[in-house]
Amino acid sequence: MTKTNTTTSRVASVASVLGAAALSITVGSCAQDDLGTLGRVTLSPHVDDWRDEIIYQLLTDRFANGDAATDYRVAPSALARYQGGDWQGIIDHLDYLEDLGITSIWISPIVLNVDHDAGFDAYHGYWAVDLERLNPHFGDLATLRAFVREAHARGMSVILDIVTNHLGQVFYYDINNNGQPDDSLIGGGVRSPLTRITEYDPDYDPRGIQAFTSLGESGPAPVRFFDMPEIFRVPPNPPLFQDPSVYHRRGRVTSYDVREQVLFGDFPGGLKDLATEDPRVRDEMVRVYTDWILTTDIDGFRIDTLKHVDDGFWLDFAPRIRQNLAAHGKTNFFMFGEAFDGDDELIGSYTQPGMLDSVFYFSHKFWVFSDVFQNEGPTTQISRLYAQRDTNYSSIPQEGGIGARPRDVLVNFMDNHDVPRFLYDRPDAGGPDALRSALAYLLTEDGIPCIYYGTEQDYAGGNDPANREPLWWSGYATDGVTFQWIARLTRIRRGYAALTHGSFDVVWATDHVADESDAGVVAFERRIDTGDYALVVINTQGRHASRTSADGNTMTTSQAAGTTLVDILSGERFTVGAGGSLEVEVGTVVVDDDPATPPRVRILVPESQVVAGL
Amino acid sequence: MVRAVSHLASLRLLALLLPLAAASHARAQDAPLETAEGDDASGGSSDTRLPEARLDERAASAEPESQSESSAASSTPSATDQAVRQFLDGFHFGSYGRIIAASDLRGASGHQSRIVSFAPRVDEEDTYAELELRREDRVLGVDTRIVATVAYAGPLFHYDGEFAERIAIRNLFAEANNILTPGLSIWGGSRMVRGDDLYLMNFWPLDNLNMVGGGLRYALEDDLELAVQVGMSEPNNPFQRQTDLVPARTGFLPDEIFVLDRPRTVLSGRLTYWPLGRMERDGLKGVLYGEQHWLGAGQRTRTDGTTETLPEDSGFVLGGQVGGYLSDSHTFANLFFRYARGLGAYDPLGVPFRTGTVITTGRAEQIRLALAANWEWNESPDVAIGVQLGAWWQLFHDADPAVWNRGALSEGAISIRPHIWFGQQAGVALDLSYQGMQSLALDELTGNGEGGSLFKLAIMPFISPWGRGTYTRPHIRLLYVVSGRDAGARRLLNPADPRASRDVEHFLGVSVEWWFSSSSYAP
Repeated sequence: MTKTNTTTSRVASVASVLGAAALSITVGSCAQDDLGTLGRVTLSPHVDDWRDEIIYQLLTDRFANGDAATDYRVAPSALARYQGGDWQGIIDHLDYLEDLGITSIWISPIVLNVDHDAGFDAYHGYWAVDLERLNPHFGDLATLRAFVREAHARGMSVILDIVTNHLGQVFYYDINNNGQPDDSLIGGGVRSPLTRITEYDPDYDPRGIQAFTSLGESGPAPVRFFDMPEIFRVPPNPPLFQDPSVYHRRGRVTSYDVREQVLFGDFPGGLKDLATEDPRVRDEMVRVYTDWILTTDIDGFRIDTLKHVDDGFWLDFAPRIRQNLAAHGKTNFFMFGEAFDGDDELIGSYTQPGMLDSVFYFSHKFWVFSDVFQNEGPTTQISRLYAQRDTNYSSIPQEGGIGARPRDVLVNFMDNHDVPRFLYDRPDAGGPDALRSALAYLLTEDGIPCIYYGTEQDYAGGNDPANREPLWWSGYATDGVTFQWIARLTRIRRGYAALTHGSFDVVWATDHVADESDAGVVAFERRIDTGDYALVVINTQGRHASRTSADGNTMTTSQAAGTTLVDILSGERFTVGAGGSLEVEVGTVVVDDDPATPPRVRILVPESQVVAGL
Repeated sequence: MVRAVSHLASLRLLALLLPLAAASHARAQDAPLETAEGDDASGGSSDTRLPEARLDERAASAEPESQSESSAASSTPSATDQAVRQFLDGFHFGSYGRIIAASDLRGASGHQSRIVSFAPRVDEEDTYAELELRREDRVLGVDTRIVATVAYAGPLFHYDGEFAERIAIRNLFAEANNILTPGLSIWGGSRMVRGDDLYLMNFWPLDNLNMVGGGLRYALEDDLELAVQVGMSEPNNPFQRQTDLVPARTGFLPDEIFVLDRPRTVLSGRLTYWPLGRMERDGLKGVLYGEQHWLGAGQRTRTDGTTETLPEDSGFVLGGQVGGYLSDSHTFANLFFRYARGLGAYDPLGVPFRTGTVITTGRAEQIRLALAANWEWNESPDVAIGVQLGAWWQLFHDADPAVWNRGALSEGAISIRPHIWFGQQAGVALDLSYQGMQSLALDELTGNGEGGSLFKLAIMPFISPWGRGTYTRPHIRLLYVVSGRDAGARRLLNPADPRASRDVEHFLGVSVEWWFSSSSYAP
């Protein structure tokens, strides 16, 4: 720096400080904090043990609209378009989340997106174009920081959704080399097949998308970046991503059964697949996402499309993020990923040493919440899936990670933004009770529960985007049955250590799904060496009451004969019989004030461990 | 008393005609001068006049008394009186204009370096001109003016080859002076209403309204004047106006209806007091100023067809000005203060931004301080010097409940421009300025607050054919400006802008600026 520049900078610094000070004096009365918060934030861990967390997944655009100034080009009620939600809205409704018992908030991707594509908006945030700039629809950096700060002040952590597999539709394949994106038909239909070609999103070609005309192919199709600044559809940032060589350029995945396509193909919708095996790409991803943590003090990443990225990327990305953060005093940073697949082994592979702390437990969603709680299948599905836990998931905490074994911190969910809501598949009268029994399981089993926003309001949207309803449609009511049920369950989960830190042992599961005495029953124990104990009994079917006995067999618990267990939901008492046997009846209605009717869900704890008021 | 009338009217005649007729330097030096320009964000215009100009105004406003007295004297007009009548009964032309051609010495055109709302204007790059036609009469003892001012904004045809310029009507009003009672003026129409400015910033820190409406001005004795105006504005934006096409009641073509139609009404008042008398060549001036803004409730249609209600809105401005002037040395200083709240913090022709979920401007606030000054030394036939000073600073935060954004900022600028004349018609001026801005928005790359600083140094050799005086025009200038911006100022630019990576900017050009005989700025 020259001497002149140095002088200029000094004077400028003084002037800036004076200006900022003057500003703080005047607007301080309505400021949310003082100017001391400007600049880099001081990082610190905000979660001691992630097993204690209860995650709430929200779509920023759909949760709450707190800032009309960010309502650019919103299309109310057209759910494929922006609705107006923003970070200020989340700040404004932290009370709501606190009432629900949430301890961790998972927000949508924050970076700038290609705003609009083929009639759809990037309200979800998965169409990144500039990894160093925020999506103005959601607010600005100050508001994002304010949100994180406010959440931390309430003891909540914040999880940021990120995507490393692809960017938005930032370029097209100029297959016919005419310099414009075409969507056309090729072939005569008689001697040559009639083929629809879209240069936006052509089908997978292992050689890379080829250019061709009626005379035949002519080599790799040129990649041309869009230049539509009015919708941020421009060459991406950082500048490295303007180099075609950092993309696989093979077109869209047409078969998810072909691993090569999954790894190298564009994500459907024309989302351009990055060559994540390229060290330059890895370096940039580590850099930009480290910077976002340093800039905001968020507490975790939910990472999109794991299985579309090579394993080597995760073995590089995750440790480097941890190392970077450790250098800044940020530990216990939680990274879990999404592999949208029912293959438990595949999902679990991402928790192997050197990779992620956890995964979004998709196999569990399919095996347990869909098959058992929605479709009232055999509860032995639960024990069968759990039996694979130690095989498929790592039992070694990640080095420099959150200190917990991945197998113990899987992120459980019953639905999310990519699948129909639970109630969509249970439109019958028994749906709400099925949902509440599933919620009871979600909030008492091992792992980290994750509640998709709107579940507490009995939202019942189908597939995307119907399952992405604005939460303000509900009026943020907190007196609904499901809201109150979740609130009670979260209080109980936080109040009983066995439910968060205890082992998980299924003590009753059944293949019975019809009229049998134990049809639909699942019971499991959560135990800690300290003696903390909970026994959860749930009737997953709502047709008749069931009990933990069948065919002359009765459930056997780990508790000594004569132990008194109290159902903390109903207050009923049970005495453990000889050999730890215990028969518990569970009904068909989750929330029912009629003492003559057995409740559908019971949480039993030793009498000495009952915590009043939960 | 006829002589008195003649004398006072002659002063006004001098005020209007002298710049046109000025053949001698001395006369030009003494001429009342007015600057007239207006291309700032609010469409503002200027009223930077030497104290003499104000004296001439005072002379003009004092005419009614004299006239009243003259009625008791001879009804036979003297030769001088005849000349006055000839002047009053006729068409007149006035103008303000500036044209600049500049390079950045890198092969591109020169651009103004600015990071604040009202930047030092030394390197302003835009072409702007006002062409005023005016009809003045005296009928039944009442002086009337009908004024039409066409404003013209570049780029010029000779620059871009496009046979189209941007044109706006800035003034279109009729005014009657000394009507009903001596000292009372009434106007109606479309008009720029404004007071004193900071010439160096092209900025009116206290009052700057563009109104369609009318007003009264009443001069009491020699030391007090009250002016009241009321006007409306309805920019074509969804905050105030929305139209829709509906099936025709009859026929085929759709009818256009107003969905949202809520003009902003502004009532403003200005009380001016000259403690030493308005007629004194050396004097003091104090101004109290206020505005009240109203906006009715309304409804507008969202894109999905649903209706959104916009509540009533209002706001106000309170401010003041104190100043002093020494006419013989062309010296003056004006200190301004302005506080605005709610709707008053937003220009009537702008769209209130970041109004928050309540869709009102209620929380918006603005505090502003400004200083304008001039001093000249003109005792030598060989050399003269003059110094202009302009400075302002303001705090603004918008109506959004979220404070930490670009709608909350502290900004200001200071510019000092010394001149030296060699002889009567040539000189050189230096201009040294600083701009600073600090907002409460955070930069996404650094995490720091957005803001920066910018310095400029300019040297301007000029020719002033109508003589000395910092406010004498026209000026034909050679202009070189070097600007230095810090890292914060660079980050305020779009990263794709080549200037975002440069510390220093150059601006070398030729400019011309003139003004004469414009009535746009007389209160």
